Amino acid sequence: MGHQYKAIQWNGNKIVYDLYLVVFIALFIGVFMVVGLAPHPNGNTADPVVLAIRALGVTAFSLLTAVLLIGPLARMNRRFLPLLYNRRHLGVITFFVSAAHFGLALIWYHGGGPINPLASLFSSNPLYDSIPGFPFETLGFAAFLILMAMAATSHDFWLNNLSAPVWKALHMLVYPAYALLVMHIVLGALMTEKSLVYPVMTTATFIVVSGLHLVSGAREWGADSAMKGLKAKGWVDICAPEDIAEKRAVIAPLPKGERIAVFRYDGKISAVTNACRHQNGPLGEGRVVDGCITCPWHGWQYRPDDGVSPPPFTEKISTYNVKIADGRVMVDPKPNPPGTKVEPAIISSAGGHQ
Amino acid sequence: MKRPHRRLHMMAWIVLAPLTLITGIFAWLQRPETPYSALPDTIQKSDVPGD
Repeated sequence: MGHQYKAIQWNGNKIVYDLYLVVFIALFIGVFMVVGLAPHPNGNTADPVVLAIRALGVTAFSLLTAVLLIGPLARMNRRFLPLLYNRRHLGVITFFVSAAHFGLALIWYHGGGPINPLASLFSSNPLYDSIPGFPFETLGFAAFLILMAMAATSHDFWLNNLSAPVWKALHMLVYPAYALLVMHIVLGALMTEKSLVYPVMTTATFIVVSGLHLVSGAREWGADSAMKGLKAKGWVDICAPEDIAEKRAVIAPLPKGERIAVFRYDGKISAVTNACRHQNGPLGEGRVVDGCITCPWHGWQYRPDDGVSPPPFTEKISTYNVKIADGRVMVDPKPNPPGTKVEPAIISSAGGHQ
Repeated sequence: MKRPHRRLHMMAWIVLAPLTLITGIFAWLQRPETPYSALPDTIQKSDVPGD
C-alpha cells in the first residue's frame, strides 16, 4: 500500500505459489524434452537445442494463456480469485520464460556469425511480402518487448509514478502481445507442422481465451447498461440482506455508471466504491479479512464503515450511505468524500430494518 | 470512482479476436503443400490454339 515500497510484496502464500509454479514449469519442460527426444518411428531424433527452444516457447505461451484466463474466470466464479491475487507474479515469470526462449533462439539461429545477432534477426529474412516465408521471429520479438515493458513496470513504484490509468493502459498491451504471439506461432512452427493437432489446439486455445473475455465483458456491459439512463432519484434498491454472503459483497451498478460494493459482515451492511485505490481492482470480488475489506488483486485493505486503510496506511475510498428498509438493502447513490465515516445498517434477526 | 478502460478491454477483444483468428487461419492455409499455396499468383494466357 502507499506507506512504503517493497521490492516484492512477499508473503507465505506468494512464496508457496511461486514455488509450485517453478516446479510445474520445470516438470513441464522436462516432460516436453523427454518425450521430444524419444526416437521417432522413422529413426530420426530431434535436436535437443531446437527442442529446448520449442519447450520454452510452448511454456511461455501456455503461461500467458493462463494469465489471460484468470481475469474473466475470476469474474465469473469466485473460486478463481486466489489465482487473481498472484497473477502479477505469474506474469513476471512468464516474461522470464519468454526471455529464455528468445535468448536461446537468438544465440542458436543468429549467434556466432560476423554480424550482431539482433541485426541478423531483422536482416536475414527480408520476405515481409510472403506469407509462408514471413519472418515470424519479428512478431515474437515485438511481443517479447511488450512483455518486457510490462514486467519492468510491474512494481508499485511505476504504478504510482505513471498513475493508474496510464499504467493500466500500458498493461492492456498484453492483448496485442497475445495476438502477436499467436501469429508468431502460426507463421513459424505451424507452417511446417504436418499434424493437425497443433493448429487445432492453438485455435481452440485462442477461441477459449477470447471467448471468455467477450462473455465476461458482455455480462458487465449488460449490467451497466441496465442502469444507464436512469436518474439518481433517492435510494437505490440493491438486494435483500440475506442475498449477501457473510464477509462478502454484492457488486451493484449505480445510475451514473459507478459501481459499488455492498458488504455484509458481523450483522452489518456497509457500501463503498467498487474500485480499489491501487489498480482500480474490484473490491466487491474481495472479502472482509480481519475486519477490513480486502482487494482480491493485491490485498489492499479498507475499513468498511469509513473506507480508510488501517494504520500505518493512509489510502481512502468513497463510502455510501446505506439503510435497510422493508427487508431490502438501500443505498444512496450520492458518494461521500473518500474516508467519510458512515454508520453501517444493522441486520435485525427478523430480517427487519434499522 | 469509475474503473477506467472497462469497456476498452472488451472493445480490444472485439477487434483483436476476429482479426487474429481470420488472419491466422488465412495464413495457415497459405503454408507449403496446401492446394491454396500451389495456386499461381497470376493466370497466364495460354498459347495453345483454341484453349
